[in-house]
Amino acid sequence: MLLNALAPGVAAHVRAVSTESGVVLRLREMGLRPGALIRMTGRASGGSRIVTVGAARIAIDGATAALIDVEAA
Amino acid sequence: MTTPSTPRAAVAPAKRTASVLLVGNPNVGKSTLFNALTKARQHVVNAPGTTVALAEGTWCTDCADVTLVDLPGTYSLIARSPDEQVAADAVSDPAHALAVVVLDATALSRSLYLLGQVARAGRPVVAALTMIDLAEARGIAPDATALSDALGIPVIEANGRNGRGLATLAEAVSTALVSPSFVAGVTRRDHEEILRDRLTDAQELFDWVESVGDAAVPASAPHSTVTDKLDRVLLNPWVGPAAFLAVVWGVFQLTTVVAAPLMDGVARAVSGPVADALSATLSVLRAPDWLDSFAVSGLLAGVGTVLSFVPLMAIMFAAVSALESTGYLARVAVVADRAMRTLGLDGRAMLPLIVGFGCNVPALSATAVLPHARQRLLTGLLVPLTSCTARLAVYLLLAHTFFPGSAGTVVFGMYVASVVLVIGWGLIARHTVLRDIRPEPLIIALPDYQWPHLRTLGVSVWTRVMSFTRKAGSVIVVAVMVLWVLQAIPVRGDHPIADVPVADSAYGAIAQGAAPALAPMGLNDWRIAASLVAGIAAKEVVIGALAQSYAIDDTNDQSTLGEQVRATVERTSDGAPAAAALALMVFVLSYLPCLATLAEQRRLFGWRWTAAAAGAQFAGAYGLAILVFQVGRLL
Repeated sequence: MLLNALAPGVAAHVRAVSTESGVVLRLREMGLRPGALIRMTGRASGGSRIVTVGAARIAIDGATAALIDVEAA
Repeated sequence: MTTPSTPRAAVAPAKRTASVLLVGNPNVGKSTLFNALTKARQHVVNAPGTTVALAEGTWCTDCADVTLVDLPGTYSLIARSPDEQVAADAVSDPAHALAVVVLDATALSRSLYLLGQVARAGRPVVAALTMIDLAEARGIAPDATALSDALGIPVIEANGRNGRGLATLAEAVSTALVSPSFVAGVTRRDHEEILRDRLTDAQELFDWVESVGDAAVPASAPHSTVTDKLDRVLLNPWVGPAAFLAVVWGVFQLTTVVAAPLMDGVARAVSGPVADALSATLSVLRAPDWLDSFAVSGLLAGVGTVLSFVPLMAIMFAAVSALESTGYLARVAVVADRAMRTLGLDGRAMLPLIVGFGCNVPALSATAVLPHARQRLLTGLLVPLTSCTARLAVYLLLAHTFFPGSAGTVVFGMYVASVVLVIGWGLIARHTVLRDIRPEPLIIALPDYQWPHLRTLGVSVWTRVMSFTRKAGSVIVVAVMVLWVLQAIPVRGDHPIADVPVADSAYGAIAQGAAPALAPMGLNDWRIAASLVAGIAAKEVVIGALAQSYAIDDTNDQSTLGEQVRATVERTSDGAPAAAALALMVFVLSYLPCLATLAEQRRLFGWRWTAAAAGAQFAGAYGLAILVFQVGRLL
């Protein structure tokens, strides 16, 4: 499933990101690496998603969140 | 993604002092640390060839005077913006002796990744561990000693807010300048080599980060914090935008309602007691009348203009710094993301654009909230199109005179026109001169909320106000003096210098020469042209200049002035005064920014951009005003 479809409070593992390599790299640098455990915190105004990776909170716009493939943990 | 190349040496180290870089992620307490270490011994410089501003300061450690350079916060040295490129270039520049890498204890792996990249560049490193109190509260505080052992470099717990650990950090830096410390477990690699296969290289660093993190960070499930609770409200799809508007409203009030009496107070003090004292001194010295007029109405008026802006700028800088240090600005990027995306801008651009409706000058300074230089430039070029309150006085006079039944609607229409101009010019700029601005995906870390630290705030406001006064202030003073000279020189009749009726002065002659250019918008009159020329100095003086040209002594007598203007416009517009008045309002909205705005634009973006934008804006306003009149007269 895609990250933007995750319900608030649900944890998931990142599987893959399908977009240009620069964005893939930046997401990995922010902790969204294949296999990483993330938790959906919620949806913000404008469709952005807030996820936690470890103790860090990351905001990702809706369109980018729809490019991240995850698997419910 | 293109990132313009920037010169290698971001800042060249001075003689006999070591140059040390301060590197870290955004929002990790880096600037707080910088301010605590350098105190007021700092200034703002532009990285050569860029509009990226860097703070540079002197830090006296035991063994050396260190020039400390506060690099733009970045998540990575594989840059995605000119600001990040400046950081990447500085790190790979051997002119800098050492890098102090700031590690955020609440987001250690992200910080360690950046540390790994600095180590890849072969730079000697000392690490400063910040945010330790926040990490402790969340049960995720790393063990500094274990971290130091795993990394092979000194790791110093440092807190810029209370000064704890700063002496130890200074000691570690002094030692490292003599015997450099390098990060263990990371192979030095050429930047070009890294870029060739950046994903593989990054993976190697991630593996290294994990091995270090495992050794130093306790395993613990993160629990819900105050920040999470606040975010549930401030990022809520419904409440978030309302909260953002409330914050912007607050900033707007600060820069208008709160700043206005302070600005008036300074202006009154300068034009009252200070001017009287200056005049008295000059008369004791038997100075000629023209010198008295020059000193008071030229030089002192210019200085007074600059000084009256100081409280406004200080308030704006304080508001921006406070929003930044509380962590709220990162949320603004999220909340206003979609609204600004069409212009290729970060959501944070919304803040300066809204502040511009109060006054354009602090709005330009507020572009500092944007992390990308090109976005700061685009926003800064759009700010003069936001209709500041000084322009409102002109709309009100014209709307009440020419549209007495629907003045409110007409004035509201001008604000709508202002928003349309911002969007229109923004789209034009993005598809022409600023084609390299592409909306970047929003991927940002949301820091914990914190109270702003007052001393840090004070130092940062002081540094920025000084920079404004020095760089923009000088331009404003010179321009006001030039305007005085034009008004003081008689070109007709027999008048002594500095005692010339407006019509007979060089300024009046320029207005008479320029007036025919206003004919296509139905406004061929020298008094209107003169008020527009004066409006370049400040939009506040447009009405005063009109009154002066009509020789009305009481500038508050708006009904007499309105009648006079109406009589003039009925003549010049050939029976279509409403269309001509509307054209004049549209022209005043965007023909040229005021001098202070131009001076601040020049300070931030240089002459070339300032002049080109003003030229384009003037041409656009001229065409639009003609269109309004020519279409309006047919209706």
